[in-house]
Amino acid sequence: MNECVLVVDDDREIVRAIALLLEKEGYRALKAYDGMEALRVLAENEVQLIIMDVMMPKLDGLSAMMKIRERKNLPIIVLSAKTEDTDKILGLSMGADDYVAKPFNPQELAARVKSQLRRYTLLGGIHAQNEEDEIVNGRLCYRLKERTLYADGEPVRLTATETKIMELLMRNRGRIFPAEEIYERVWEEPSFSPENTVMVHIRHMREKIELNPKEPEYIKVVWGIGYKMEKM
Amino acid sequence: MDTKWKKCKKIGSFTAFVLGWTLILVNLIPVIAVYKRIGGSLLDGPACQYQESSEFKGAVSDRLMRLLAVATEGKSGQAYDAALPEYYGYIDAQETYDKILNDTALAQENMTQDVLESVEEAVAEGAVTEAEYADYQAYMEEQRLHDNEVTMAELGLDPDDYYDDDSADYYYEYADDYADYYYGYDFSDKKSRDAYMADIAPNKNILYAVVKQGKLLYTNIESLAPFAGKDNEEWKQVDFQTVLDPLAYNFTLRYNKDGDGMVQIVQDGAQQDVYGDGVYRDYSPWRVPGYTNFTLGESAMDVEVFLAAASAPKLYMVGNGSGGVNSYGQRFYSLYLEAIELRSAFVRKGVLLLAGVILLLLAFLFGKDRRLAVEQLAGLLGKICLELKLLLFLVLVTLLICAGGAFGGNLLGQFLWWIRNGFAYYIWSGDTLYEIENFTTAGKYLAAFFWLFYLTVLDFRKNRTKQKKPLLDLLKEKDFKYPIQKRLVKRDRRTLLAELVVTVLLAVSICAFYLAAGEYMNYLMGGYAYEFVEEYGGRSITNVFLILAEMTFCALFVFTLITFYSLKKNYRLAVDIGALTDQILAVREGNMTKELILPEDTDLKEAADNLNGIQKGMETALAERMKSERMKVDLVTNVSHDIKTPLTSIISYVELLRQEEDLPQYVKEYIQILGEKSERLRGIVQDVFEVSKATSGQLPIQMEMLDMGKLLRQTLADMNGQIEESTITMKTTIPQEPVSVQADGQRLYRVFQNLIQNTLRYSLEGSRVYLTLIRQAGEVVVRIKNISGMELADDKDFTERFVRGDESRTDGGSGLGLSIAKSFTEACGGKFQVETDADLFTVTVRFPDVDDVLSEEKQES
Repeated sequence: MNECVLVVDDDREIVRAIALLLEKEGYRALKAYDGMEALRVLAENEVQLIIMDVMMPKLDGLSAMMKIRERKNLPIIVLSAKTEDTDKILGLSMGADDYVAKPFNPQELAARVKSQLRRYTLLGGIHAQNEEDEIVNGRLCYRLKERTLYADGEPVRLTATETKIMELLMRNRGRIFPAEEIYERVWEEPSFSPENTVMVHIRHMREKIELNPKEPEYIKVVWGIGYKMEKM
Repeated sequence: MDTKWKKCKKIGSFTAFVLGWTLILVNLIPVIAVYKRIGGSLLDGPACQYQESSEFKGAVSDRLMRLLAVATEGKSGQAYDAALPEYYGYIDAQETYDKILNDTALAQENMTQDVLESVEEAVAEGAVTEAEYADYQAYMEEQRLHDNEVTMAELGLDPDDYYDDDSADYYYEYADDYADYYYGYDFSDKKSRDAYMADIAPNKNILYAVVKQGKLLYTNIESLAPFAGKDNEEWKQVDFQTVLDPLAYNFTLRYNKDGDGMVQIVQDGAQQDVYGDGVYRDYSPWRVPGYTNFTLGESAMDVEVFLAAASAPKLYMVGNGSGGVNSYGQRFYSLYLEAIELRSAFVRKGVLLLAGVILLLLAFLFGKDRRLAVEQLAGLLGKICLELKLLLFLVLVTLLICAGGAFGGNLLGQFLWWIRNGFAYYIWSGDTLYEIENFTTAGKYLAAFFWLFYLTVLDFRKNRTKQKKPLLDLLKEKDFKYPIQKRLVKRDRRTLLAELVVTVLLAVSICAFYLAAGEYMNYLMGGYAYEFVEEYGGRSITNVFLILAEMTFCALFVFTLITFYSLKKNYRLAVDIGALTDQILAVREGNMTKELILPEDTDLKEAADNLNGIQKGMETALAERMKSERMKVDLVTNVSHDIKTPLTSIISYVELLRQEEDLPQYVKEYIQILGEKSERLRGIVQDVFEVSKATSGQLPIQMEMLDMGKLLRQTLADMNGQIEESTITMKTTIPQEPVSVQADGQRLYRVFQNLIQNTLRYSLEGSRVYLTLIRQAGEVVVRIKNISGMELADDKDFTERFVRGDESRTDGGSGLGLSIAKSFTEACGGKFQVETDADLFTVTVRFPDVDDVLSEEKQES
């Protein structure tokens, strides 16, 4: 595993810490402290992934990302101290593959790096082949015949019930299911106060598939209504 | 027993109060009027009282004047004439009368002469027979006699043959009194003198003796009758003072006793002061000669007159030989009767008045009980609605005033007249009792007025603020529905209308007064008004009233005009006030741009300008506040960003440290602590950021319809792990059926997450937390109750940022939990409330019930 990650931030200590963390995970880390430098390093080295801060001198993260996207299709994780949803959406729409808010959990960042790299290297880019018997949603892929869920190409161990719930949600991505419906369709019996039961399973599933279970990206609670699988 | 006694005292003192006042009011006027009438000698006998009256003095003076005229054969007339110019005119009238008589006779003679000539011509021509001519002449003679009675006396004819029965009765009934008023005597004529003396002689109430040159000319004293016309020794021995019984005739008057032309009066053996300072004035009680400015000339120097008045006058009835009766002495007899009646009436009314005073004193002695009763009465009055009371008041006042019409429509004027003058002379009718009863009636009206006004004032004083006035309230309420300018204009119109009505009423009443004035004054003056006003019209009280009324009317007219013009101006003001009020409303509703421009010359220009200033100031202040809010959020954003960057380093390096394996155990523990605290710091930074955004209204909110019950169940399920880990038991009451609200689910989740976390963190260990969801009065209410583990401070606002139940606690939350919950709830359009009751901590979150609103809308449509 010699994937090379470019870490770009104007805060040298953060760059160093991230680099150290990544190296501990077995990646090669390159450092840059502003957008221009990042572009130069990128031109000179073979880089598989970029972790880049938004607010930087000379050339800011978003502008640098746009320049990079002109030529390269490598995954970019954006770091930002701004946590507002609009910033996140802006970052993702301008070509970022992932968005991590500062102050981040280092392990989460590592997980995200790993996830992005696996998808990039193993599946050959963002747009993976969509076969008929599998449902792909972001980094998740549910193979109907195997009744198995793959996250970043790796199978996830789900219990039978969890699998049923996952299949239901994956088949109906974006649709909101009330707890009662999930219960009735998975357990196939009338429900009575199913909220707790469903929630327990969902929590377990999140722990297995989400990079940060506390801030889930895929299985979401729609408060006051139900649950849904976010369509990526 | 005690309360019964108290009640008795209360009722008794109040009754005494009412009765006392009523008795005083009813009897005060009669007592005062009678007192005025009978003068100071209340305790003397009735004789003295009747002799106190000016009527008596006038009668005696008249009699003396007549007797002097008789004695001087009319010559004393000139002296009286000089002293009593025109007003009394008795003597002067004689000349005037004669003159008129002569003129008339002359005119008649001329006319008769013409007629005679024409008749003679007619006779000569044979058109009229001699017999017809004789008849005509007889008729003419009769006509001449009938036209003036004086000639009857001159001719010694019996007037009875010429007058109709009524006037004959009148003439003879009060024969002697009439004689004193009668102008027709010619005292230079012996026949006339004798006729007069014959008329007055039978009246033994007033005895007289007229002496001229030592000779007794006339007398009606029986014991002196033999000496009439004589001048002997026996007569010279007569002493008038001893001739009569001093008890029967307690009043004697002697003229020219000492040859000085003065009058001496002895009453009850005491010499009376007749002349005062010696100058005769119109109001001097004794109209007799002897004043410095009123003396009789030489003609009366040889005359002496003695008069005596009876202490108890009687009525002398003498048959007139034609089936009728002539009564003599009526004048004094009436006065005497009146005095007796007045005295008894005075005693009667006085006793009642005294009783009233005593009762009133008693009432004031028990003042406390009386006041209690008055309070109770006021309470009773307060229960009656104002409109009814007003109506009753008006009706009663009108009734009383109309009833007062019996007193010439002027009760007050009548009162004043009575109090000033006593009451009018009714010597011919002797209606004293009737008069006194009139006073009593007037007193009753006064009492009625008094109590009416007492009740009115009492009601006004005690119930002013708590009057029940349903009708007026209704009107007021109706009034308030109009905008202010309309209300003002309406009020002004009402004022103007009232003023016009008053002016018209006053004008009408003044006209009516003018028309009725003659009759009215005639009534007031007891029938003498026309003569009185002719001479004293300029000074008449009634005229003063008229002038006052005219002036009032003029003033009111001018006042109405002024009001009209100022109201016209006020109309403009009302419009401006309306505009100003609208503007104030606009400012209140946040319209900061619309300015109110009023014309330069209006009263409210300054106020409008000031309001514009306030508006501008508010606009600036608001803009600045918005700016500062924005700056605050910017600041928090920047600060949190500046904190986040180093925090990122800290967390990252702690993570690196954690991955170091060769470190000693205690260092690993330190690192563990560093990790936890930096995580917590991260949470706090995030919370501060969110709270500041939410409170400044910059938190993005995505409102959607959601089921509050489901949201709560999801939240509880989400936090199930934490709940189970704690010692707290959750008791939830959430209905199964959907409870819809309009809110941002994500934010609301944060609200309840924070609240539940709070209860888990701060509840008493092992206690229960109650979470209920109910729909109540158009609201969806979520209530979370828990028992605090720590003592709660009473005066703490738990929703303030960084406030904790216990200041010393440092572990756990950021101190922003409730603050976030509150600001998020409010950002979603809900209400957030914290209540503490001892250790019970209650949080209530309210949202409008969407189903309720929807069903209402459905119903409306």
